[in-house]
Amino acid sequence: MILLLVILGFGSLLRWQMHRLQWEHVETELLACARILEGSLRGVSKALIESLSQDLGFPPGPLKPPPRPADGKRRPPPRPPMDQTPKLHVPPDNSQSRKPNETSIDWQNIQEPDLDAQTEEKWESSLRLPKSFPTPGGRTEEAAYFVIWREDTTILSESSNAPQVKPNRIEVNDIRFLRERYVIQQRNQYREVFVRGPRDTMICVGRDVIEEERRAQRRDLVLFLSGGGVFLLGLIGSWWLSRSATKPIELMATTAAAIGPRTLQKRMDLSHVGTELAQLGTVLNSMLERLDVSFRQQQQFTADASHELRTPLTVMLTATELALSRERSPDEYRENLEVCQRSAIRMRQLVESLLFLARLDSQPESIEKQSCELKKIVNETVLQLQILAEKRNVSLTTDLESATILGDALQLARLVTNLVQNAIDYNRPGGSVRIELKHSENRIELRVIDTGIGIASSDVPKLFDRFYRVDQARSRQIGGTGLGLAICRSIVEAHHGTIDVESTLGEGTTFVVRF
Amino acid sequence: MRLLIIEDEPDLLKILARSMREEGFAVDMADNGPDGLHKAKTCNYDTIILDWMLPGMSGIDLLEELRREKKTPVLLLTARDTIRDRVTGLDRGADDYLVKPFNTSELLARIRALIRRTTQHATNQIELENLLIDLGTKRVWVDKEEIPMTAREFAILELLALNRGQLVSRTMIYEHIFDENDDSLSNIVDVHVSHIRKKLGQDRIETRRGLGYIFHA
Repeated sequence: MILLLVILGFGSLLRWQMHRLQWEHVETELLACARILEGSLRGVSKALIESLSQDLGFPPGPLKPPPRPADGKRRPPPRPPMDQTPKLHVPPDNSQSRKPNETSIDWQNIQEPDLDAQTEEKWESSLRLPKSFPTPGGRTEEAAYFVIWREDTTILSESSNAPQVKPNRIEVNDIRFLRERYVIQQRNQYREVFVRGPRDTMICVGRDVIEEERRAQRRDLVLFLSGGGVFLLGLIGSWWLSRSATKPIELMATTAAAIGPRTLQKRMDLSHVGTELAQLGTVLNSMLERLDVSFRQQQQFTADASHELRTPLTVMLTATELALSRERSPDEYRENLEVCQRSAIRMRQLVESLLFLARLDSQPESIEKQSCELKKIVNETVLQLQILAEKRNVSLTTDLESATILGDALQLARLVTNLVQNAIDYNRPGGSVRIELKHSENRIELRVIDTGIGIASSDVPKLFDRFYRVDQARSRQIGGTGLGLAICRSIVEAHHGTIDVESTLGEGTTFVVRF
Repeated sequence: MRLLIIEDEPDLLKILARSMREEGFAVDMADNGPDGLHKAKTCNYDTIILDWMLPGMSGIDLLEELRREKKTPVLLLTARDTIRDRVTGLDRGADDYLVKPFNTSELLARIRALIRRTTQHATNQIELENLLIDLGTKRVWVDKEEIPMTAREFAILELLALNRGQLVSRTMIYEHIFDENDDSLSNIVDVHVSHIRKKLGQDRIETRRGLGYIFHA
């Protein structure tokens, strides 16, 4: 639409400009002719003009005035061909450049009161127009015609080729005529210029402009066709451009639309995409990569959680099925119930841990933050775990500085419990666990150091993953859920801290929490 | 029939073993991968019930290792339930796949199906002239009259009937009928066979001295 408007606007402007130039050219010619005639009339006395009308009648013909029709109207003379223009009219080299005072009027004869036929002829012979007008194309156009009126609008003189349609005489008295000194009008195929001449005469010079009109029509047709062509080309070009610009976007959109939860591993092909779009595509691809990783982690977590929940559930179902398959002794029932209870307890631990993690995941910022004395929390935890440590023959020692942090006391207690309990569970008989709480470089540092079995360096990166167990058998024996360290990490991150591990296989492990 | 259960969850292992024993199977147990593989390689089990996630060695690795030496039917009993897991398990050598939690009767039916497939029997029923043995319900009829049998007697009869026409050695009977914890006397097989002969007729089971028994169809 914009292209169409631009072409229409530009085409109209061009057409208007060309028309203006063409008509300006014609009008300049006509005006020049009018001025030549005006110059010729200037030297003629008013008396001569009036007498000419008496002697010559109305209107005077240039050579042989045609007989007037019965109705009194003057029949115009046939338009003679160019070579039949009045013989006394000898065109100068370039009549356009001619000035009025250069016209060859026989001034002596005119001034003489002797108005014989020879004088009239001489006078009339001075009223002439250039034979032809040079045109920009080099061709010559048919000569113009003229008509001169007296004050009383009777015709003083006219050229032999003046057309049948006479100039509108009222127009010569038009106010514009007086003000602008000349009037231009188009009458059918004639273009005419009206000029006020000397001795109250009116001069009209006109010319057949049908050829100009035809040229203008041809030019309009060419303009229209070339405008249409440009519009068509523009349409094709813009379609091609927009297609080449939108095709990569379409491809990207198709790929993006095809990506679902099961096809997150798909990536956008950026081999045929421009730089700017490739940048966008790379960003989208890296976003997909992150989503894919996160989604796979989530899937793995769900699979692991369901696996972990299924095991105790299977035990409970199998035990109850066995117990109910036939009559049992009270001891057999008791044994089966104990199995069920153990499995139920394990399920409860697992469900609680999962819920705890889910809460931390969904609203990590929503933890209750109050001033907590970490030393007090550690001491209470150590007190609770003392019995377990004694049972496992592990000594518990502490080196604690007073440290206060903003956080959730229950969660912090869970963090310390998990770390210390792990240190006891994965220790050797006769080993030790040391808990240190110190200030270090504007940070609070909690260290849980054990002399246990240690962790292989290959296991360290996965240690805080959910359901990751270094030794599955041992974990089962201890009754771990595989979520303890994952919970620790979530609690530490919710408190804007960090947790790290340093370990040597067979020598021991140190967990370092920094707040 | 003798089974090996490889499962790391101690309660489940115990309960499963008890269930299988009550169904007349001799059951061996292993609670980790390497132990399970060792037992699977050294003894001819009728079926192995194998967990996927095991300490020491995963069930899948164990299966691959076992398949290099033996064709013992293996049923994977695992909590991993995705299609991909099932395909992986079956492709890597398992004969059947059952997801936890399971129904014990379904597990038993699958074990029976595995044993049938190994001994090339189409159904649970073995019909030989006037004798009808139902392996599913563990009942025996002679001339349409049900013959009461103990679990051990039925187990020996089942083994002999499934391998009818072939020599079944005493060792083979020991291997398939008694588990690792059974310390029965060595002549216990002869005693049970003698009881079976009394119930079904003397001609059914032929004794080859020093070699074993042949069950005649």
